[in-house]
Amino acid sequence: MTSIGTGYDLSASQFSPDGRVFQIEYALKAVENSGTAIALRGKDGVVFAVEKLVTSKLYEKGSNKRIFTVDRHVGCAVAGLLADAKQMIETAAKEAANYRNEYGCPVPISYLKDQVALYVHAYTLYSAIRPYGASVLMGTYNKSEGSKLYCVEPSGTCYGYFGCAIGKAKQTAKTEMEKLKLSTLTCRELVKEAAKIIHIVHDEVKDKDFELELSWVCEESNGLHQAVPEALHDEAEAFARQAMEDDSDEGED
Amino acid sequence: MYRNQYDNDVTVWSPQGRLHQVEYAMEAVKQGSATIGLKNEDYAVLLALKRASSELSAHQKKIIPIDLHVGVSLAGLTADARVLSKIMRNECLNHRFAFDSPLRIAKLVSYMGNRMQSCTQGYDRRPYGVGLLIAGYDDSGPQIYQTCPSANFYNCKAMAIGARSQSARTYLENHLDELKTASLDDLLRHGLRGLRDCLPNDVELSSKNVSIAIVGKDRNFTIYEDEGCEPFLAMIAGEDRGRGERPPAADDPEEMER
Amino acid sequence: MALMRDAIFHSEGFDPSSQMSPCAETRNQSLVAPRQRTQEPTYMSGSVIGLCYENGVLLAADMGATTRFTRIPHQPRILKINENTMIGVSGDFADFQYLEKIIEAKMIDEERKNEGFQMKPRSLYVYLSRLLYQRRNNFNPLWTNIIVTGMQDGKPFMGVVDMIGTAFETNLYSTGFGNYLGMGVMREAVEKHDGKLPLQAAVEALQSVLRVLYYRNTAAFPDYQIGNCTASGVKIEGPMRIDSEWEIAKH
Repeated sequence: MTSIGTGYDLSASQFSPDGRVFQIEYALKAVENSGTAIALRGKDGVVFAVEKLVTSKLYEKGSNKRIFTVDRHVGCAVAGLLADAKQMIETAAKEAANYRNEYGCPVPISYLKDQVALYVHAYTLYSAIRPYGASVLMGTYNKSEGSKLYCVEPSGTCYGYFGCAIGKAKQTAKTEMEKLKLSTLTCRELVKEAAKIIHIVHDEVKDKDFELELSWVCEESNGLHQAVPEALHDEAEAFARQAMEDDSDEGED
Repeated sequence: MYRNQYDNDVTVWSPQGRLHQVEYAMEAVKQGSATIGLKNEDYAVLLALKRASSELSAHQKKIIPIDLHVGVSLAGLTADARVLSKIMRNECLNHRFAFDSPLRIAKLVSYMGNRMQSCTQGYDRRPYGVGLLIAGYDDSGPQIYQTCPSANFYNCKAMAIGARSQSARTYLENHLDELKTASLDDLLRHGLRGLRDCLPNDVELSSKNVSIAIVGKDRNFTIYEDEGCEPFLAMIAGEDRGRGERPPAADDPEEMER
Repeated sequence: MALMRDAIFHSEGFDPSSQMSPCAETRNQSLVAPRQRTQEPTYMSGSVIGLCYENGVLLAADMGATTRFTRIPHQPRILKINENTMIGVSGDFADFQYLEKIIEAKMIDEERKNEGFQMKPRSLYVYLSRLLYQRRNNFNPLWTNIIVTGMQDGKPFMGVVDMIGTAFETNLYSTGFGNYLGMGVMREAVEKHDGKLPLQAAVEALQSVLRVLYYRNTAAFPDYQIGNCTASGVKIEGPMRIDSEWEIAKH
């Protein structure tokens, strides 16, 4: 951060002289301290992958998942303070349920992401509350409209993406994504690529252990957001490990 | 111990993206006396060290029953724990009323997580200054969950929190592979040994300062206090106090979380 | 959890003032009649019949809803709730559709939070009994009779809830007319096989009850569905048609 402090950074309801709201930027920092989460939007769906850092051997496998289902057809991957993220997910789920109740059909993600973004944005306006310290990747797929992917940030902004990364290694991950022709790839292929990216960006020195979480919402899952089938998950892990080894071999030559 | 200008309110992010007030609340957990939770295939067990505030006072209770199938032990502010346990009790009762079945532990804990989170985001409140170990039994078997003031919670194979609990965590990590297949008696032995490691060298486990609770298959959440603990304590009587002091908090998982 | 409480407790508390005329003058006159909610149903559907057999449970119902003068055919009334639960509903058709919506929202919430664990049939039965009893106490009943069936911890389960919140568990039941005309047939089938009723015999018993009901009730429909819940999941078959013989009517 170039210009911290200077007294204008203690409240979300205060601008600095150069027109910034530092509290929001600091909240974004919390997202960047977290394990990486990515989402890739292919031609037949969206794939989510999360680098879930395991900080103790005493935790059960699968504890503290960072991929969530908001409604049957909407999946989310999060980065940042997990407790904050869960609250955002809860809001999204309530909105989705509300929409279903009101209109009798699944909520369109273009509407859902706006609702969540509005909610998050409201937390950036007052001194009595703090902005959320989490970003949410939100994706869906249906036959008629294809796949969609959005990212809601602590500031309450929300953009659509072909591929998006949040968390620690978002830069490296984005560079890796740009090498792929995302819109030509199927989810089956993307699962492997996603696994590979997470393995590449994982920092073994600083973070030791991690679990790879994979989920998708795509043609093959009938438009439902689900964990990637176990066989494919294992295949993707193997593919990622192989790719890493090949890479390091080349390095030695 | 004034640290910086960003640590006065939970509503203020530090430039590093940290919430100092939440972190300080986490410290409150480390002030509380230690408690351990662990499980095998059929049972979840809680063990806790009780403290007495003076010679004349009784020992402060550490384990709170929630429902027939679940209970908690606490480290940190006891009063906060009581508020939380009342909320949990309510949730369990509501679920029993609406569905006539016990509330799944995972659901209970996740509900608690959301409740605790809202205290970390407003100027008018403070985070709960207590860590809980939740032991329960449901269709997915015995469960141990840990909750923190940060509103994070963890599904654990075994866990220890509270003062000097690092030595217990080390003990549990070293015996992690044995726990799952251990008998209930062995499980309790492991728990007691771990708990003993949390004591200063000149203090011993006794029926006065230990609480034990068991929940599991065909066994409702049961708390053992005072004389009730003696049969359990007898199981490790005469054993050497294994390793000595461990440097505390060196690889504290909570610390690394930040 | 909050959603559940909303569904149960916030289902329109009894607040007479809100439903009366908003005009204060009118409200003060004691001439205003006491407030009345649903006094009679509109579109009604016929019996749902259910039967536990050896290793599962069956539900059957004709398809459609009627008023005295109009008919809506081809309406399914047996719902798959999840892999181990299905329900059949008779009574007011709009109330049934409302229930359907509540249950779907509940299931989505469950799927989302439970990571693969599904609500058991008995839980749903208890939940619905609480809901319907609450509504009845608010003098605003859902005009429905519900049979909740499924596999509860590996065993066939059947629970019945009626529109005033009466709830009980049983192994065979029929709502509506079938309660008078069909229970005997089903009971006989169960007794004949000494509690180990095979699937085929159970289906035949249900079909014969459906036929009896179709012959005797002008409001009944010839199309029907049969739902079967076993350890391997819920399967709803149909529409099928009741074979009936009307030649005799000419004599």
